[in-house]
Amino acid sequence: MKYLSAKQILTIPTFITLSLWLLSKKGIMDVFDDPLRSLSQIFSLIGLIYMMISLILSTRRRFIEDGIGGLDKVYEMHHIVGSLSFVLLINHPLLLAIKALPQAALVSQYLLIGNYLPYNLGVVSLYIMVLAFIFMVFVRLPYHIWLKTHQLLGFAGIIGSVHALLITSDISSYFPLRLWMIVWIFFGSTSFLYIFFYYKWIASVYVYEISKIERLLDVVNISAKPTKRKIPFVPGQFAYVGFKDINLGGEQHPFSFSSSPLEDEVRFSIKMLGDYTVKLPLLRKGTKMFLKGPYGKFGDVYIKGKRPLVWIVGGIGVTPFLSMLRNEQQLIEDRAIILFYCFSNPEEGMFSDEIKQLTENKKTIEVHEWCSTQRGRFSVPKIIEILEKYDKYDVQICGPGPMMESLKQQFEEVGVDSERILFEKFQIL
Amino acid sequence: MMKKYLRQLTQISIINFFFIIGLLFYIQKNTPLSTSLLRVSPPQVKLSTTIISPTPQPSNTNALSPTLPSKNNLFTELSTHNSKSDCWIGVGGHIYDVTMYFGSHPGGDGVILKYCGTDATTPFQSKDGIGADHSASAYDLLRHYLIQ
Repeated sequence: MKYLSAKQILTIPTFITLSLWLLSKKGIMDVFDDPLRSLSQIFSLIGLIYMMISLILSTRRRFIEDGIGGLDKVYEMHHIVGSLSFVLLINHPLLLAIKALPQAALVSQYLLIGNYLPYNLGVVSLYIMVLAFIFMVFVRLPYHIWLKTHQLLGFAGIIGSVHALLITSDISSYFPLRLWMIVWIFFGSTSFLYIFFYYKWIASVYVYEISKIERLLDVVNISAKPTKRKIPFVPGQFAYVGFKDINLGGEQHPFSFSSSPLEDEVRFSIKMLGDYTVKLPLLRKGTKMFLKGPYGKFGDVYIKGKRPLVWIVGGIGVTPFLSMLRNEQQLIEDRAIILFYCFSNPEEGMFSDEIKQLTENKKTIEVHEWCSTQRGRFSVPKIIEILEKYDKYDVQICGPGPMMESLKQQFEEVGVDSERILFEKFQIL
Repeated sequence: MMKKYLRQLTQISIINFFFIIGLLFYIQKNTPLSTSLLRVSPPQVKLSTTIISPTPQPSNTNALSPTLPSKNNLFTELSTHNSKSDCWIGVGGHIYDVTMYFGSHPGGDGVILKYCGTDATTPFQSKDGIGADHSASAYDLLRHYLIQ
């Protein structure tokens, strides 16, 4: 299925914004008379539109996920569009400042707090953005602190929008451009307020209670039963999970289900990788667990597709595949599945037994374990003989980011259409 | 690959930002206040609507600019400074040399250019006929360009 790319989403708004900006000018000389100022104006308008798009993308709404192909892809796009907007918006006052040099009074008007409120709003917005992006590209903070700095960007967007609407500019002097910007600002600001206040505090959650916690080396299996209603997920999906626990605070993190929707309880298999997940073993039976979602479209090809499937699993990326394997209903007897379970040493292949148990009676499922310390790094050329028995197949990969990127490229090299290579990326908000 | 370049672009933009801020402080420190125009405390401008006469009466000079030296009467010159490269405007009974402000007005140069060499009190107080006066902060900014 074709999904929208960042390029497709940005092209039309960019074109309309540029056209309206040009129409706001008295003539072409008005554009070229002062190129730096013109460029600065273009940067501010497009940067603001991109920021609003980025805020809209962060709402986790189902229709956005459906259009882009999964929440992990949505957040990847949010990241790209947000970064583009920052580059454009920070360069908006910088270009004006460079143009004003060496007049310190004018430069300071663009970069320092002064007496003129509309300019000050722009300056405040700029500083918030710079601060937040420093913690994205230069300094690594603990997730819960980083998240707070990241959320500041929404406030920066709203303050910057007020600045754009208050100053005397092309926006104020040309009504169609003003209307266009107001519409984007409305949807962007509403999106931010929705995700910051409504989604976090008011939106519906599925309440579960932990029934079992077991730790296998650096992986924690958490099973929980619903207190009222079950979360309606399909195999391959994930949910935002939070706990009522003093050690873990109120944070919500995305984890894939490793259980089947048909089971009474849900199970999450989580690798202890960061400052949050290392505290998971401190959870106790009976602790309340809150789920939001479900999200993700990784399992769609498994549920709706008919072609043979090639599953490539790296380490803890096994979780969505466990959910799919456990979902007996979906395991059509004649659906061929080749599963490559990759891990760096035998201890890491801790789900081998479970996979064997789930697949021992399924004749159409082939399982290949790949321990890289014994067999070398996993690569497509090494398994090409196994793959050649199928004319056309879909590929699902879930594992570390560099592994997925590398394998995608290798599959494309052997003629697999990129649309048939599906990922599940963990590194989302 | 794109994400890598975007990250680098973001880093460069942040570095540029701090470079320009540093440059600003350097200029402030090393430029005489009168030319840098920063932290200058210009005389308070009375927001009167005195109409500037093309040939001002000598007896009124002090009333128009009570805090300024009266050795020059620049009102007689006002109409001759009427170009983008040499633009004076009259506002509220004072004269401002706004030549250096070209390129910085959010509404574009055109709105200033047409009033170069004239009394722009009414257009200034109505934002070129839109109806609303400029803010107090805009008046503060204008003070930086006060010459009489």
